[in-house]
Amino acid sequence: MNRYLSNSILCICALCFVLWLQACTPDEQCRKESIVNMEITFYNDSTLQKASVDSITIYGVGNDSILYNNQKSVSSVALPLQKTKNETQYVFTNGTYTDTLTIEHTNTDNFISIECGCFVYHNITNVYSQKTWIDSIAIINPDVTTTNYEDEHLQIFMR
Amino acid sequence: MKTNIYKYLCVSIVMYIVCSLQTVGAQTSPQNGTKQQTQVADTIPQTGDEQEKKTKMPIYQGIGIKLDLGNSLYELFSSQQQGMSFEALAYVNLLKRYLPTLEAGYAQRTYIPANEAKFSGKGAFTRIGCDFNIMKNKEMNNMFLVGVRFGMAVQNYDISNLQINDSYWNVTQTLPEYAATRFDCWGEVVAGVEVEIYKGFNMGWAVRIKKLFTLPDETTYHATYIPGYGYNDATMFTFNYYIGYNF
Repeated sequence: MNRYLSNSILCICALCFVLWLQACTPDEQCRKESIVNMEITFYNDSTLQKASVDSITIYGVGNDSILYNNQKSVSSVALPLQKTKNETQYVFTNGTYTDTLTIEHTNTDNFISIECGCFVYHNITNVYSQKTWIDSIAIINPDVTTTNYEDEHLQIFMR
Repeated sequence: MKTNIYKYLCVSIVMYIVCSLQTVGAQTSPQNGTKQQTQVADTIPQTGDEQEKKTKMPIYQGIGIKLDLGNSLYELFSSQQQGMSFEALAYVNLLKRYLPTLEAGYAQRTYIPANEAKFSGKGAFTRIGCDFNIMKNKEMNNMFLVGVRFGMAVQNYDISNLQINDSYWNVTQTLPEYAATRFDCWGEVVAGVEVEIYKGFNMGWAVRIKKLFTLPDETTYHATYIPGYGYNDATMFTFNYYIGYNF
C-alpha cells in the first residue's frame, strides 16, 4: 500500500506540474506590421532629379484629417490608400499651388492570422492629376504591400 | 490462450467505444480486473504455457486504455478560448517493452482574440504509433515511455467577424464568413511516465513534441487550431495527463 501511496502522491504532483505548465501558452498577438502605405518620391520636372518640396500640405479629399501639414523640405511622403474603395484622391497644396492626385487601384484581402485579421494590399492601375502643380507621375512599383513600404511606388514630377 | 486473447480484444474494443461516447472527466468502469497471469491459470490449464511462463515472458502482456484529463481539463477551463477536448488511447503491451498505441479523440474550440474575430473549429483526430518502455525493472508495473506517433486530423472550421479597419478614411467593413474543411497530419515524439496506483489502475503524464507536415494554404483563411495538435504552428509542445487501466 505504501508503494501505491507514494506513486499516487508522485502523480498528483505531476498533475499540478502539468497544469501549471499548460498555462504557458504561446502569446498570441498580432506581431505583423499592419500599416500599408503608398510611397511617393518627388522629382524636379526640368532636371528629372530627386527634389524636395519647400512646403507641402496633403490631405485626403473629403477627409478632415491632414496627413502632412505645411511640412518643410519634403522629399518623400507615405500615403494610405482606401481599403474599401477602388479610387483614392488627395489634395496637394503649398498655398500658391494646389493639385488633386487621383489613384485608381484594386484591393486584395490577405488573411494573415486570426489575431491580425486581413491586411489589405493594393495594386495601382492608374494615376493622374489636374496638372496644376504636378506635371507628371510615374508608377515605379504598382504593388503596395506591407513588406516593401520602404520602396518607391510613385514618382511625382513637380513644376 | 487464443480464446483469452479474443475475449480481451473484444472487451477492450467495447470499453474503447464506451470511452468514446462519454464526456470529459468520466472514468471507465473497470472490469473485474485481476492480473492476466491469474486469469490464465483459472481457465483450461495449458501446462506447456505455464511452464513457459516461468522461464520466458509471453509476448502478449495485456491491453491498456487511458483517458486524457490534463489536456481536456485545460481546454475546458482555459480563459483565452473555450472548447472541449476528449482524448483516449489504447495500447497492446508486448513483452512489457513494446506498446503499439492507437489514440483517438474529438476536439472543439472557439477562439476570440482581441480584435473580436472568431475562429470556431471542431474535428476528430487520431494518432497511431508505438511506445517503448525504457524502465529496467520490469517486475513493477511502472513504465517510462518514449515513443513516436503519426497523427491525422479532420476538422470543419469557420472564421467570422473579420473586420477591415481603415483608420484614416474612417471606414469599417466586415468580411463575409469563411467556412472550410481541413485535413492535417503531423509527427510526434512522446515521452512519459505511467505508474500504477491501485490494482491495474494507473496514472501518468506525457510530453509531446509535434511537427506539422501539412503546410498552411496561403490562399485561404487557414485554421488557427488543429484538433489533436494544438495551435497551428510548425512545431508544438503539449502535455497530457492520463488515468488508465490495464487489463
